[in-house]
Amino acid sequence: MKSPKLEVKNLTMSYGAYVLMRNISFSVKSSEIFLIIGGSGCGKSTLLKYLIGLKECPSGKIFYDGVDITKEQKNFYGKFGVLYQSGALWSSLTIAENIALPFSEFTELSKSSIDSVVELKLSLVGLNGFGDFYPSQLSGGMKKRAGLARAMALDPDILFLDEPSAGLDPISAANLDDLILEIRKTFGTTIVIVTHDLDSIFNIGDRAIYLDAESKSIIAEGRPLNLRDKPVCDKVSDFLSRKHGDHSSR
Amino acid sequence: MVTVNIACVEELNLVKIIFEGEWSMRDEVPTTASVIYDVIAKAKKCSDVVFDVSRLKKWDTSFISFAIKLMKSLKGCRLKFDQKCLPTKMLNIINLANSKNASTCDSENKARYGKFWKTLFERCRNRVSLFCESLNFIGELILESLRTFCGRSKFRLKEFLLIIEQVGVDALPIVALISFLVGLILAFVSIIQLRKFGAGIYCADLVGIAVMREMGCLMTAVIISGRTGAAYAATIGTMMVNEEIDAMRTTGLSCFGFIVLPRVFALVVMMPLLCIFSDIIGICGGMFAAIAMLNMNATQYLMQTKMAISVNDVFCGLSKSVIFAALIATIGCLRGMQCGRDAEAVGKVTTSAVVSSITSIIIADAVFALIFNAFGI
Repeated sequence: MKSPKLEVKNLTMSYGAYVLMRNISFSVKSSEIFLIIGGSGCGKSTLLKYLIGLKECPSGKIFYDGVDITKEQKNFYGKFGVLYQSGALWSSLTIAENIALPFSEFTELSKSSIDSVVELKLSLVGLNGFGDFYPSQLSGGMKKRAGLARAMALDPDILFLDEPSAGLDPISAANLDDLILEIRKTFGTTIVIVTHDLDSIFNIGDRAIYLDAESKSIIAEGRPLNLRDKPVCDKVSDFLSRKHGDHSSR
Repeated sequence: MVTVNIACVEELNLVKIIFEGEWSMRDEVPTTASVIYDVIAKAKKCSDVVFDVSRLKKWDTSFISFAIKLMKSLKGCRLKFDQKCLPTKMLNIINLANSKNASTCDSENKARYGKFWKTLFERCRNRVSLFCESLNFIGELILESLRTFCGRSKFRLKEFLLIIEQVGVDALPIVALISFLVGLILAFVSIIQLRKFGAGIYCADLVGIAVMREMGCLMTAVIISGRTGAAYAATIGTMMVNEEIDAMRTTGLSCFGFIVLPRVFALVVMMPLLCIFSDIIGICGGMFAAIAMLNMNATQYLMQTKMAISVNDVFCGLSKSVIFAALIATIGCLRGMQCGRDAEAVGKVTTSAVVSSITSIIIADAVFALIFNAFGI
């Protein structure tokens, strides 16, 4: 049987002595859009930091294509792409330079080839002609797109996206969702997304896990629609049908 | 203004707390303690308590906070309070405040942080881990430098030249101003004393040696730590806040190669040049004072300076400037890398970079003085 693209076993997450999650396990299949959902402060972004190696696992294991990378996560840097919440573009470089940097570091491509690949990447995210702009000259949505172009620069097998639609207007958010679906369709990329945007959850998610801060564990796992329509607990169904505080009835 | 009356309705076995007027946090309002005291005094034969807010024309969140506190106190006095007596708007806010959905620190984690010794231990551990981080940073810096010298790691020439301009050329005006004034002050003070003995001409010796050996490199280092060291910490700290450093790491790029090394090398290259510049300007400052106060001419002053200073003095100043540069750049970059994730943290690391740099410069200068003295330089 083919091993999952990404597998987490018994991971405990903490901030110093503050335990966020205890012994959580899940796996992500190849070419899947996998969502990590939950309320604010439950540890979604922290979990992402563990997955991309920015935090060391105090206990538990992370497998990437069946290989245990827990102790040598740094060796896997560059093999996956990450879109950060703020876009995290390098502010001293232009958008084109941001995307070109991984190429000049990790490939043998000539300068002209790099330029043409960068142009292609920019057009894939709908930013043709913005290569010479600096990040500070772009809007929030454009920064996210540019960040996505940089994340997928080296055609990684797996993309991690941290709240891609946060701070975007509904149209930009929907466009970004379409772009994510297109990337998966075209390149077969496995995509792990941290989000609490309901539209994104239902529009693009194949499978989701719900992190619960109270029980410090994953309390639900499955297809987003199933989680809403056949809920395993009220907390999850409330979250997915936006009943929190009964806003819909007001 | 609000008034609170407490009425005992014995036939219904309850105490009524009647609020009248306008409750505003901008006016004087009753305390929970005074109300609860009166309630207990009148509730000898009653066990239930209700609020009557029908005559309360205006209220704000301070009333809700008062009500919640009062309810807790009543519970503590074994008096039953019926929330239903409150209007829906008030109840909604109270329910929202008591809601389980509100983020609260769970008891397990609260207990851990509540204990004094645990907190002390955590802080000590943080200090130790910061120290280890610093050692790790220095180790990484040395390794990356070696890799660059051996050609195993790319050197970022573009960034290097850009930083050279920022730390060197852009700093010339401020270095010139401070050095000129320091030379001028040294000469002014020495001329006043030396003139008493008819030895005013020796102010050139004093200024020359002091500037070449100590003041040139020291003043330049202090200026640069306030200017460049702080800028390094702030820039890298802001990159940390904006997740740019994380992006660099996860892309597989070396933060040392891209950020730290060009900055350290740029300052190590530029500092001796700035130091020579500072020395020359400092001597000019001294010369200006001597010409004005001693009626000397420039040639006389420069000849006297030339006779007074030796190659050793120049060597002392330059060797110190290289070490000072390495200290300022390393501390600036290290503090930037240790930055937290908010704007306040950037301010903190910037301050810390300047303070640490200046302290380490003074300590290093003292160590140099001992070494030079031991070797008779």
